[in-house]
Amino acid sequence: MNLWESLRMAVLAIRTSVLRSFLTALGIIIGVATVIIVVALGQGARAAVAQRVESLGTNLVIAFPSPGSGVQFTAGMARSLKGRVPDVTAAMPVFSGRGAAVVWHTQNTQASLQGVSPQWLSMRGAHLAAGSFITSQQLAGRSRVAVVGQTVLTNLGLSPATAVGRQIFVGGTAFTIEGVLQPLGAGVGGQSQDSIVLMPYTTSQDILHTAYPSELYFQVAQAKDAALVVGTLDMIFSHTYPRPNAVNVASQDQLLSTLSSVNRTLTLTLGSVAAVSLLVGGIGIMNIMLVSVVERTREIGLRKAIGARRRDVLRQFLIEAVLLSGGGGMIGVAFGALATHLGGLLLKTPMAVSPVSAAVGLSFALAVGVVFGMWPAAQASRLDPIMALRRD
Amino acid sequence: MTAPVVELRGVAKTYRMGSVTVSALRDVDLDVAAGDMVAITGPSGSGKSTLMNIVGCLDRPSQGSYVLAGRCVDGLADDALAETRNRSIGFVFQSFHLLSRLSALENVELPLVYRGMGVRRRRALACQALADVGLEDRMHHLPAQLSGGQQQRVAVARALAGRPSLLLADEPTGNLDSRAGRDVLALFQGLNDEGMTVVVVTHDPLVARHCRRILSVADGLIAGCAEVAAGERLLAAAAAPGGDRA
Repeated sequence: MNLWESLRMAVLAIRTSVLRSFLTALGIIIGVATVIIVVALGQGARAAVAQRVESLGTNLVIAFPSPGSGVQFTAGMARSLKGRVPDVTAAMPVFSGRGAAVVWHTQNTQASLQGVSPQWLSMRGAHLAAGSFITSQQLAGRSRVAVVGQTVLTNLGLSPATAVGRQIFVGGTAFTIEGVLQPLGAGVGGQSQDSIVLMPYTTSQDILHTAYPSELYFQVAQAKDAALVVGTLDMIFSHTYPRPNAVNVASQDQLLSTLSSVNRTLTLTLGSVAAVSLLVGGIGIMNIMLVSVVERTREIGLRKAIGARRRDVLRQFLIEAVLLSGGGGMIGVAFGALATHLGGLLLKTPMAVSPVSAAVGLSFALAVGVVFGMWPAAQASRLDPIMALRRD
Repeated sequence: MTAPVVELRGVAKTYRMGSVTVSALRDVDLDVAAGDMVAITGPSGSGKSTLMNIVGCLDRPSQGSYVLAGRCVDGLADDALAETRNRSIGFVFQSFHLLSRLSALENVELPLVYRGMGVRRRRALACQALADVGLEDRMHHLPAQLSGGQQQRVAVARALAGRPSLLLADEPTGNLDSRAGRDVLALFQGLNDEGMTVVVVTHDPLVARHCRRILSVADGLIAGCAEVAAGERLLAAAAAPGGDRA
């Protein structure tokens, strides 16, 4: 019996009980789909993280106290450190606080507040949609001026053209809208950066009730100097605060590689879990194939009686198992691609199925079919035709 | 009649069941000449099933030698025996053993598929065989769409399609009503008249009377051999053979 005939027989056997075949292959379908979705999610997340770290600005080094270290920065440290560390072209303190209510007329919304200095715009690489940014005079004069993000504006029912000069209340205090930011997109952690109200850090200390900046931003002239600046800052901080790791200092590259490695670990772990589920799917196929061999004992006996050799029977059952697993794999790829596409639409991030994960998932499914189909097929091929024909 | 199709010499078959050794066949000599039609009868436990399995190359004798259609099949491996069955023997079983998913035509083609024959040639042979048993208008029916008698005729067509040296039937009328059974036996007689060598294994004397010779097996030996007179064969063909007595 040639390959084509064996294939035709296997298709016939599978078609005879479509539901059962589908259920048999379900483990493989789910396994392959999971592999594809997990890998696509991982890659999508990695791309998104990279994009967000880029959007942080250009050649930034960020320092922040380790949680629980008790270290407190001061606003003046930014300027003094800039003077001490070569290659730093700009520095600023950033005061971050919890969200506060922002009110305009009858409209209100929730936004996060940040106290910043006039360098913020260039350091973050951000742009204004309207108006102007906070000036040094406003910083010195503790002016109650605000630059607002697009989301805040939209939620208040304002447009960039009409917003500038309006008075809003931030946490109960009146501010004048000085400028409107162009959309920034998602932040490093995936949070929206457009639901933001910026003000001079001198002003923000009263609103946020804190005298200590949460971060210090440093700009480096060239990306290649970032590592050196990180090292120097680390050294200075370890002198100032003798406890180990009291302050975290990270460049964009380091931030990116840390987040990416977390991401990769997560993807690998989830991918392995999915691979295990493929093995479980293989065991499911083996189970059903063993049942099928018993059910079709008479058929096997008849085939052998009229001239099927061992390898004919072996091949027939092996092909059936591989067809189940391979077909399951293909449905899994289709299902995974569909889920990835829908997920991408839902999360509003472009997610693509990597051809490598589809190929790996599919070949893994086929291999599972061969490995787990071999034993039942061998069982079938070894049946004694006399015994098999006598079975009722 | 010419050279024997089946030639058994001193064939014995013993089974080991635990510590006990059971002799199913003891020293059997059997010749079936080409063109002969032989019934092998005997009560259950007599050894006739074992004899049939050995004649059908489904089993190997423990002792003795077997020459089938001029070729010694002693000591052949499983796959070689499978090929021998495929080329030299056409089986007809009591319970038809048709594959339910395949049409009549595809069932008849099956032995030729295992022979490695191309689609066009085997289809032609299968159509011819179905026409020979009078089922040319039922070729594309599934077994479930056919009556018992028709199913058995499909099985006969499957046995004939490969042009075997020997048609070997095991209780071919056991699952049929008397009318359908008589048709199948008449079919065998017709094939035999055209030169096909036929061996029918049965416990039913009425079935056996359709053959030219009746061998009775008892206690693992061939206990007797009787010629059936031509007139008696005709009579048997006219009378109803037992069908549902098994």
